Amino acid sequence: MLVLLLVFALIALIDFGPLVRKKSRRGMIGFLTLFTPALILAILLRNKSEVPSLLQAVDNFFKALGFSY
Amino acid sequence: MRVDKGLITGNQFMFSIICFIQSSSLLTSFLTSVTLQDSWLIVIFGAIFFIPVIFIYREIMLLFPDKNLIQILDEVYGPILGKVFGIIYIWFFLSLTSLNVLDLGDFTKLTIMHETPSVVLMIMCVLVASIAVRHGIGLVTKYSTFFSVTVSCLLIISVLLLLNQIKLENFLPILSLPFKKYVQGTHLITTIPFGELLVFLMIHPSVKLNRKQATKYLFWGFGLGTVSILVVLCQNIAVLGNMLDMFALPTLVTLRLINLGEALSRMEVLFSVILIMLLFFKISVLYYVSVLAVSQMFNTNQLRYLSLAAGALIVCYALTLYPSPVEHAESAKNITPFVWTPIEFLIPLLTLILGKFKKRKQLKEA
Repeated sequence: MLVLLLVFALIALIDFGPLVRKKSRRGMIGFLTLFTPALILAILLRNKSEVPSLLQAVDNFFKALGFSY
Repeated sequence: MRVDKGLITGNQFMFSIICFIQSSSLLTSFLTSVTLQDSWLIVIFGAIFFIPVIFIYREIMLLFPDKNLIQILDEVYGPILGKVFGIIYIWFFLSLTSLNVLDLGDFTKLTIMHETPSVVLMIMCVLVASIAVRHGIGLVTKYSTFFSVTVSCLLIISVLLLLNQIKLENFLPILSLPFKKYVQGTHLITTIPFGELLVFLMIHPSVKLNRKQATKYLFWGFGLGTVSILVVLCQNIAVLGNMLDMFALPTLVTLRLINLGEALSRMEVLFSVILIMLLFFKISVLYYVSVLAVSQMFNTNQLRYLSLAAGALIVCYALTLYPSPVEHAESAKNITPFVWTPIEFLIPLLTLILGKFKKRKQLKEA
């Protein structure tokens, strides 16, 4: 877990730092939009929690509508 | 506002399309398990059916020469609906990238690095690709010509070395499967390798093309890429015959059969390396397009600073997609073509129609 958090901290340090220095608000929002779900997913996967697959949910939705071979 | 102001040549654009399609030759088992010895016919049918879609993409490129797909959606559908479609496309690009990263991890583990966990391979791939993404479209597409020519040469060599094992009777019987299988196969090939060319609607503002050049580069790229897949499929069918659907990676098995005495055997390792290169290229393009789409959505030109976060998301998302390659293959065969159809064909068609109306209206008002 510590390694995982260190990796994410490093990513934030490399990419989020310059965005803060440049005061790019849109850049920061864009970064956090990608970074936050990645961090949450990584922690869930590290804890071996069952993460539902988004793509499989979409597949099931289409299957329920009758779109399947 | 254009996020990445880098420019690429028409040739780079064309070879990128070729590489993009060629990289799918790894995944022909999706198709061969459905249409067996008639898979080569399906590639031809698929290419014919896809030509109108290429025309749609070309028209969109010419109608909005300075705008990428996210900007086009905003202009055509307005700020709210445009953003909704934009989010759908970002999900599509991220999903495609993650699916290919997953394939690369599984393939590399299966063929070359048996002991290495696939997650390590996926992280390494994304890390290297992120360097290209940080430097923009120029670096992402720089080696497309080299990759494409190398693969084509290797393909010709492999066909020559397998000549003694080719049995033309393996192509028989022709057109003996149920009609539904041909429909499924054609749908599969038009959506999975061919329809993914939609990602080039994100890149086209980086290539300055007139109508003639757009037609030339798009069609040559598509044509040569299709020929590559066709050659790989014909080779697999001719060599493996009715054993074709028994293997997850028929191309690799076919190349394993190359045996010219002691000197030339186990050629599949060379092919594996080339295929990993191609898959890496495809991932780089998809990764770049995903980051570009997110930057465009937030209207920020800080594209390079989003790359590592996007990379982390791509790897984590890939790990949640499918529990096993078998389920991935099943879904790709039976449901994914339906999921991708509105994204790759219907929305672009609607966008083109509405875009033409809007442009005509603007001209009349002017």
